Amino acid sequence: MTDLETAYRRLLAWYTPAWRRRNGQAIMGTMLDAADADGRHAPTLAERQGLVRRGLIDRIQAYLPVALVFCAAGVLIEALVAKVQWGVNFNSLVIVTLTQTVEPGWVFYLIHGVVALICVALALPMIVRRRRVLRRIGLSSDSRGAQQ
Amino acid sequence: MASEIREATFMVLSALAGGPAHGYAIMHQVEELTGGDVTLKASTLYAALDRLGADQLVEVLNESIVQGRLRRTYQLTDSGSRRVVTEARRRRDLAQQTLTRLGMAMVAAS
Repeated sequence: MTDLETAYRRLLAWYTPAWRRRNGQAIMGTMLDAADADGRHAPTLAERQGLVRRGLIDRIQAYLPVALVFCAAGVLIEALVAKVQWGVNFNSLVIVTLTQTVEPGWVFYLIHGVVALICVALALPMIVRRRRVLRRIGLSSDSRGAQQ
Repeated sequence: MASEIREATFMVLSALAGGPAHGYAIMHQVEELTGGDVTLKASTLYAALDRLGADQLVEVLNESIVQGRLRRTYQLTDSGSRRVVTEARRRRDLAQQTLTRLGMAMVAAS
C-alpha cells in the first residue's frame, strides 16, 4: 500500500463503516486516479477538508438518533436519582432551583457529574470511533447501511 | 415530488446524461461542462452518488479492477433520465426568465 493510499484510508475512517462498505473502494479508486492525473503523492487540503466534513455529516446522520436516546436516558436517570434521593417535587423543581431555597450539596453535583460523564462516554464513541464500540454495546448501523 | 436537487448533484446528473461514466470521468466531465470553473471534490461526488443511488436516480453499471483499483461505472436509471430532463428545463426556464427580467429592467431604466 502506498503512502497516498494510507493517507486516504485514514481520512476515510471519518465515515461510518456502512458508508465505507458502500463507497470506500470506489472513492479510493477515484481519488488515486485524480492524484495520478495531477502527479500528486499526497491528498490536497481541499480533499482532506471534504472527507472530514462529509465523514462527520455521515456519522451524525447515522448515529445522532442513538446519541439522543442516550442523552434522554441520562436525563431520566438523573431525574429518578433526584426523586429517590431528595424526594424532589417536579412541579416545583424549577421554582426551587430559581429561588435557591434548597442547596443540594456536593452529593447532588457529584451524581449529576458522573451521570453526565457516562452519557457523554456512551454518545461520543458513536460520533468519533469505529464499529467495535457499537458492536460491544449491541448497536450497529449495519442493517441500516445494507438497506440503502 | 422529490426534493430539490443541489448544484453539485445536478452537475453529476448532467455528466451522466452523456452516458455511463466512472468516478474520475464524472469529475473530469463536470470540469469540462463548467469550463473549468467547478472542480468536484471526490467527497462531494460520492456524497451525491450515494444519495442518487438511494433515490434510484443512478445505478452501478459495472465494476472492474484497473491497476489494482476499483473502477465503478455509474449510469442514469430511467427515472434518473426523466429527472435530468425536468431539472434541466426548470433551470433553463429560470435562467431565461432572469434574462427577460433584466431586459425589461434595462428598458424601463432608459
